[in-house]
Amino acid sequence: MAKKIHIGYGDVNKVSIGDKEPLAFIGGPCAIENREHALMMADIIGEICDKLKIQWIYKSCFDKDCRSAPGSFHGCGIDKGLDILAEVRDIYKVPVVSDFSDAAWAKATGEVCDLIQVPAYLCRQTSILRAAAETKRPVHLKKGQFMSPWNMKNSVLKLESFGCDQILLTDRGTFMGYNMLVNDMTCFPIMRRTGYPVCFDATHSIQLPTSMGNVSGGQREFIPYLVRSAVACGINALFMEVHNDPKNALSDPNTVLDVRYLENIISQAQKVHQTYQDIVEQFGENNVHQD
Amino acid sequence: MFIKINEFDIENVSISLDNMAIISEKDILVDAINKMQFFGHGICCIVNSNNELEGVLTDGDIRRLMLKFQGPLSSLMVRNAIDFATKKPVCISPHSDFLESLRLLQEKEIWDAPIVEKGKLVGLVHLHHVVGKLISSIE
Repeated sequence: MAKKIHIGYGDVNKVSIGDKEPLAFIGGPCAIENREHALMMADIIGEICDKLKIQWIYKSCFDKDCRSAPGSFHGCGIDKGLDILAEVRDIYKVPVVSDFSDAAWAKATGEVCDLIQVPAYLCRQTSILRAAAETKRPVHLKKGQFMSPWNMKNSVLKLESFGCDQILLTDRGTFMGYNMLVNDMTCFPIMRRTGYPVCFDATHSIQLPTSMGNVSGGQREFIPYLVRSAVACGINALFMEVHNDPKNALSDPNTVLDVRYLENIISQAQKVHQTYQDIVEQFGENNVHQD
Repeated sequence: MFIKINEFDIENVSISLDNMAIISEKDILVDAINKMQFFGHGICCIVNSNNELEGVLTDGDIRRLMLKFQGPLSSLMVRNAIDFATKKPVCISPHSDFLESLRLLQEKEIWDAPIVEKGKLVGLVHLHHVVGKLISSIE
């Protein structure tokens, strides 16, 4: 059974992620575009999550260091971004998460964020993992698109060696050749062998990386199928980037979910998650041919 | 030409802790194999943080695992070694009778046995090492 991790410090609503816990949702706009937009998105998503009674964490990043083109929106910057995240936290009492691409940014990020995210492309970089662990916050570790799920154990061992024992492992798709991602659902039971809870990033999984020359494309129509499949495989949290106006989003316009579909998708995920938990309760863990 | 068998006891044929393969219960399979390769022994002892023996992994365990496992080798190497270990191995006390201990190894058809005192790992009996000592004592 995966261990439980606890996210949230101070007076925000605490989120517990693990087996026998309700499904958690991590979501928000890919990048912090500006203060007004960040607050508006927190308001819209928060209302949906309150209605559906799902515990949630607001996600938005202050620096998008992995953009395909130099001219793409790079983010609002760490100082402004963390101020906005702190305000979102303060107003909506929701835990917040942002990633960081430079080890020097980790300390400041950890001083504001309840959960600190290691980008998929950097998931095996020792300096990044050390910096994440040293924040003493729970770490959201994304599986690199180039990584096998079992080799994520090495990144987990690095985090543990730096003193971190609160880790959430996320699949965001795996490269199949060039400009194409696939989802191998066995990655969830395999990553759970590390002993930590697992999460599915639906909106990056449908990405076609840099498939449009200098911008990533995406196949958003497949989001519901992948979400239902991943939840049925026992994930503990669901990650999706959402936007009120995807075609004008400053980051990942081809993959972010239009927020008007969020309630529908989360409702489906909750229903499958409840069914999954009932199945485990009735038939036991999935320990078939484990000998 | 004879061997003075009475001059032997477990302690003077044992291999010390710093000359044998030992890993922690959190270590992965590749760590166990690397240690076994380094010391040239067909056994790796797995201990907890109190140096209590939790299990042993042998060449035979690894052979059987290789025959049974059908996934990619790289996925096997990062599994915890303890998952594949023999949890209640044949052990010898440092105060066991020397000949009785050898008979036990012969009877169980094993080459190695950890030496355990009050649950804690204190050394290893390895038949090659014992035979070497016996040969060198021939008069």
